[in-house]
Amino acid sequence: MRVEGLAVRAGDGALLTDVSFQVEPGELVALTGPSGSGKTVLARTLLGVLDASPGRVAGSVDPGGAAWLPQDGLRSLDPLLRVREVADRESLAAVGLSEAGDLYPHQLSGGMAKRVALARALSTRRPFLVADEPEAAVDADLRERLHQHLRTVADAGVGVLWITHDTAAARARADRCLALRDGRLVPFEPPDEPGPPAPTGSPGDVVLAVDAVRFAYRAWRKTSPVLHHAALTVRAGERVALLGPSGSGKSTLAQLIVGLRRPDAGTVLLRGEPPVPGRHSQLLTQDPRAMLVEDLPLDALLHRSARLHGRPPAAVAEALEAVGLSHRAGARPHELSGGELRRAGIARVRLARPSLLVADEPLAALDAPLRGAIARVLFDAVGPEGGLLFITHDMAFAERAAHRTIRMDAGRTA
Amino acid sequence: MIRALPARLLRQTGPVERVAVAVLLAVLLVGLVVAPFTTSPVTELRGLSAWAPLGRDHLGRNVLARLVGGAGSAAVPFVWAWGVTALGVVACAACSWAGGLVRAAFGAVTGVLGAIPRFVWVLLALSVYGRSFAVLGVAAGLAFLPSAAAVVDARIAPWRTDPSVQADLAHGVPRRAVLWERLLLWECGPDLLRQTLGLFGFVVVLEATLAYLGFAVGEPWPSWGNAVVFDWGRSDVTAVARLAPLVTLWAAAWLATVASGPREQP
Repeated sequence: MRVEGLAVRAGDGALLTDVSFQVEPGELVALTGPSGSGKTVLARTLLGVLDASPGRVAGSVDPGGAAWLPQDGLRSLDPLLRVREVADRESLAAVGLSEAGDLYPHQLSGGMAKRVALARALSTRRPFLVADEPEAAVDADLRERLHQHLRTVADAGVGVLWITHDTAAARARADRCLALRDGRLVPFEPPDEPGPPAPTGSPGDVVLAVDAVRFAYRAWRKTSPVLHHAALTVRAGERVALLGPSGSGKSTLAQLIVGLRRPDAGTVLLRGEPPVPGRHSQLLTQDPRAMLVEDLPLDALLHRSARLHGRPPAAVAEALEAVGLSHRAGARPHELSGGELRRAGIARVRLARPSLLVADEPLAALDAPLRGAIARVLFDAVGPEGGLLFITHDMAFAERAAHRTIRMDAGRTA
Repeated sequence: MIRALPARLLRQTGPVERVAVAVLLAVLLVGLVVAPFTTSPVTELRGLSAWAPLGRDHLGRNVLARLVGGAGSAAVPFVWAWGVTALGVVACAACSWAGGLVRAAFGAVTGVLGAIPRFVWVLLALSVYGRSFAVLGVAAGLAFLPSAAAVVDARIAPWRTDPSVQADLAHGVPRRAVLWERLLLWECGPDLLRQTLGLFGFVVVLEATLAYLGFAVGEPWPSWGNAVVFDWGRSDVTAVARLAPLVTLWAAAWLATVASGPREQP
């Protein structure tokens, strides 16, 4: 895989400038850089999926026949195809999913979808692999396993370009590390991550009470239990971190709490009432783009939210300013970077003034310098009267930022 | 969101689709509002003149006036067909959203409809209920419904479990707004616009084909199909007068059909 003097332009701006590097067969090369530095543009150029109209792309790119491991594993899978139809048996075994062949994508957890996407890429038997942040939004164990998989793939002779925000893992695992900044290759220097704001004040009354909740997904002649015994409380002004491995039921519990699903047994009470979507709670989804509507300008979406929640139009400008997006009010989702997407989603839930905000992996897929800043915006959105329940795989972050941490494993809270 | 919809449709369409939409609107305006129901036969001198720049047909009628009047032969059945298809699409969206057996039942119905060739449907309807533009339009709408329903179902069914829709619901957006406003109008809007153009092309070609087979709605309505059938090949009509209806019909059908085809997003 060889790139020489690559330049990509969009309108008057340069997305990539004079980028040159190569990846040899059997080499694991990490590509790091902050959000918006051009990593994904580079990946898309290598894969030949970027609009290469005349004058937009210059330089020489030889991808050498690269397979792609996309950032969002679940969305990259065809919802109508079973796992065994997208990846061969050997590749599924290599990622530890031999038993998952009959499942459809909607039956996979986020971590399983990532591994299926990796197995699909391996099934192509291509000589190179471009892996776009495979470790985003997965728990520590799975992150470690995915990194091991990448190393194994490289050791088997495949050249791997690994796009990542995890500079520590990159330094530990990769043969070489590259860094992009403002579209240019710069020397690799791991940044210092600013810590999240520590919790302050003492929690007030109980906002959320979950007690002995059980839940199973039901399909035609098949029941898949997900939650066996979930119990937790969140108080006003309290930040509670919910930790646990992929597939342990965290996201399902979040859906029960905001009223998208009803428990089979047990109770969920929000301000003393069964939850009704949008009344007292808000959900910040794992995928930041899912918080917005495709092609709809951000300010139009926020005005819609303001009307829905009885807020005056001026509240939109206030929310945008609070998350630092006043200058991006008219932008559409595809024009926003990962960090901006997350801020936009927070602005939207902020307009609802929720008593409880449930945030599913709010900092996943963000680079280190951004995480602290986004965490501040997130905590600020809840206010002193609201409770925050955030799902995360980052134990260190949870311990620093939350009043309490709750572990979840195999559908049970501990 | 509704206010931003025209801008989205403009962004999601290319120049061919925009021209086709303009032509469709012009035909609707002319065919339903401007054009008289009948054109008065003008039996003056045949040939081109300032009043008849496209010449006159075999009965001495002004071809331009006849084409303008004939726009109704496309507009009236199209409006009927669009109404039927729109009702079917709304039902399809509701069934796709409901999922499970409801979706399967609707899919079975449209599957049966789609298994019968479109033209057979229309011929059957005209034979049973008589020749009129309303019957032609309703039959065309029913015949076109399976393909439009397939497009809507393919778009809406996966959205039921999409995180973006879950986020909307959790935000407090009512289910009816998510389904009708967000999914049907916003997400399916560009596809539905293309389906509308495809339906227009289908109706125009259908009417002309029926005219050729002698099943068309007859005079006094000056249909485009009749204009082509009766004037083509006659030596006592000028070439311009013979070609004008054919070019009009072909251009309308071609433009609508091409514009309704799949294309890369601009």
